[in-house]
Amino acid sequence: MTTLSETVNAIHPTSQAFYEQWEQLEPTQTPMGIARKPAMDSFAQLGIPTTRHEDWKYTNVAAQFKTGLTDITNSTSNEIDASQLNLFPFLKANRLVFVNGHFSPTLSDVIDEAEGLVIGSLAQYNELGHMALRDNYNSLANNYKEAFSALNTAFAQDGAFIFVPAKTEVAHPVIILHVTTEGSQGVINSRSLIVTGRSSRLDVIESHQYLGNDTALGNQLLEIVVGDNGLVNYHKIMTDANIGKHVGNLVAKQGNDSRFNTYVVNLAGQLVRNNMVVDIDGKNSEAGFYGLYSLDGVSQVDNHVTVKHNEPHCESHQLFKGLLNDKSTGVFNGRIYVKQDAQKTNAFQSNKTILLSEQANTYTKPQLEIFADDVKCSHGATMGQIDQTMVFYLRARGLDEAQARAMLNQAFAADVIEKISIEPLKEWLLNQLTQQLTR
Amino acid sequence: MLTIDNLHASINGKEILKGFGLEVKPGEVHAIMGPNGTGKSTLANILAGKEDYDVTDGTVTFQGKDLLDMAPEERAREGVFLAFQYPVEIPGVSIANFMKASLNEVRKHRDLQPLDAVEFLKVMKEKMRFVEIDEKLMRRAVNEGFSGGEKKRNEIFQMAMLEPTLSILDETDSGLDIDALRIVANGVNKLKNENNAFIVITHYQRLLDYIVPDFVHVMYNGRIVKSGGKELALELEAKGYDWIKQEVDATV
Ligand SMILES: Nc1ncnc2c1ncn2[C@@H]1O[C@H](COP(=O)(O)OP(=O)(O)OP(=O)(O)O)[C@@H](O)[C@H]1O
Ligand SMILES: [Mg+2]
Repeated sequence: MTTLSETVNAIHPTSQAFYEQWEQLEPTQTPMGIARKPAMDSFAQLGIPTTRHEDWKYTNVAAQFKTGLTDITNSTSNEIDASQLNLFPFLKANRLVFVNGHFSPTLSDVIDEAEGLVIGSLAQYNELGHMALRDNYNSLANNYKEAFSALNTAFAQDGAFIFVPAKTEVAHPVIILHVTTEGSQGVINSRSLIVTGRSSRLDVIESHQYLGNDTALGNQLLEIVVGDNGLVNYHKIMTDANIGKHVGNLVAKQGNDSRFNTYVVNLAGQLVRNNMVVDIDGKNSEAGFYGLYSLDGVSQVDNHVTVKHNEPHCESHQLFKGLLNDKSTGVFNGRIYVKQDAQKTNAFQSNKTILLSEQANTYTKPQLEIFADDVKCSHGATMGQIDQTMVFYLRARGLDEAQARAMLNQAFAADVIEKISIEPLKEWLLNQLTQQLTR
Repeated sequence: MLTIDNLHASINGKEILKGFGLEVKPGEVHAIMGPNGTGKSTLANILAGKEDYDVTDGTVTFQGKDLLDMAPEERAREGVFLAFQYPVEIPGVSIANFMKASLNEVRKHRDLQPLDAVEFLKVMKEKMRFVEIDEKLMRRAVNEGFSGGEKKRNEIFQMAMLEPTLSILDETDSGLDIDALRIVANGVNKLKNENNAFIVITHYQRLLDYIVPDFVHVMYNGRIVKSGGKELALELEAKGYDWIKQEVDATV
């Protein structure tokens, strides 16, 4: 039998240091501490997936680990200046800022208060032993099959913790900002947990900012529990040109009569993987997944969505749009799973891509696994170029070709952004998109 | 204003225009009638600059310039406007946005200041009243889900916005009920002055009761085979095209 350190070494010849770093993490009897060992065992089994792995066919994440998993807990929270960050100043919001995975109290700011409401650092509430954290931490993460989740659970030290008590509507969005600094090394694991009670409401905006081109790979895991009759709108915004290497796992479960919407907007990314797995565990609930990846250069964004209809009378929508220029790559993999008992399910999926360059690549894969018989499910994928008759119509009214194309591209992509209900965020994103398309 | 001389054009190797000629002067209204498939829309599209056609012979001069040498947007800015027979639907692009960009391009070309949002809105509202178009349509995407009549009215609205020198209306009247037809015709009549001109392509004499043409041309097999005054339209309405086809075929 091989030992754990041998297995890790086998995956990455230089990763003795990696194993030693893990051993140095304090094995506390907290939810985070308890979860580490099984996760590490699991990671050792799984290893970093290569492109031979069906789920990673188009995204060569293993290539990021050529030098092994050396630095994993070393990147510290350097003091950074708020002026370097986009703190979404146009939004009145709660802000939680993490620098290289560490909570920054000075950059953070919580404005909403309500009895029992928590908007803060996961590490702190882990120590305090918050009930909702004990009950829910690591309850959704798929550590046994998904290597990055296992890696995250084994190593993560901090991230956001939000607890919204029953019948509480959080008045302002919570912005969770992950900052990765120039020269940060290896992998930064950040871990967040959101638990919302019955009939509550929460808007979350998660943004990733990379200060420089030479940065660590961000490995982020977020668990969300949506309470009965609750509403959670989750936004993941990656717009700035420096967006580096990122693997994000979102795992959520929904109760009865709940609504959960996910908006993922990528206007950049060296190598970005967005995994989203949502279990609809209650009746009469709705899940929405809306994604835009408008890319240029050699950006690569890979969206994997799984929606599991485990209960009857629920509805899900997936709409992902790609606008791919230069040598960029967009991947969409959308899975709809309908359990045998989940009758009267409505599940829809659409992936549309416009290729703006002959060197851009797009891959799309719908997967429907339907075991109930009384369901309405549809999926569709289109890919192509901008419609020439539309371009001509606009030109015949005086717009030049570049203007006409920009207008059509904007319209194609804006469709996704328009679904966002936070008005100032929507306007800002539309503006970012215009800037990108007229560059 | 416009001189088309001996125009020959083909698409996918098939010759559609076979020596088309026409002279249009400021202040004139020309009607072009003719059986289906004789090349009326082809002519209109070539004048607007659609690139799918091969012009194999002939010239088109617009206000002293070689029209065929210009990009479609240059023609639009110079004052050529085509109201399309089948206006395309453009999802996601609002009419207001589109027209603002379009009008400001045309204005720039005429050395006029661009309109700001408030000024633009004022002009737009005025022109909307002009074609009696519902304000709600303006916030919608261009032609998306519009009825046939709404699409045609939207074309006339755009024409009113851009105030072109030469307007080509390709069957703008087809499929319109009598009220919509009157609105479209009124739009044209109000825009009409001694400096601009209209080419009205139609199958129905009905339109010409409202827009009175100075000339009526019959197009057949890629060229004009007969021209006359407005009474020619009445004759065509009564007798159809067969007698013209026979006349033409007899002379060949
Ligand atoms: N892409 C194409 N390839 C081949 N033939 C074409 C193409 N587009 C048009 N044509 C042909 O060109 C001819 C002229 O078409 P055009 O649309 O100009 O006719 P029209 O006079 O406008 O007819 P209508 O009165 O029905 O509108 C027709 O025979 C048509 O089938
Ligand atoms: Mg036609």
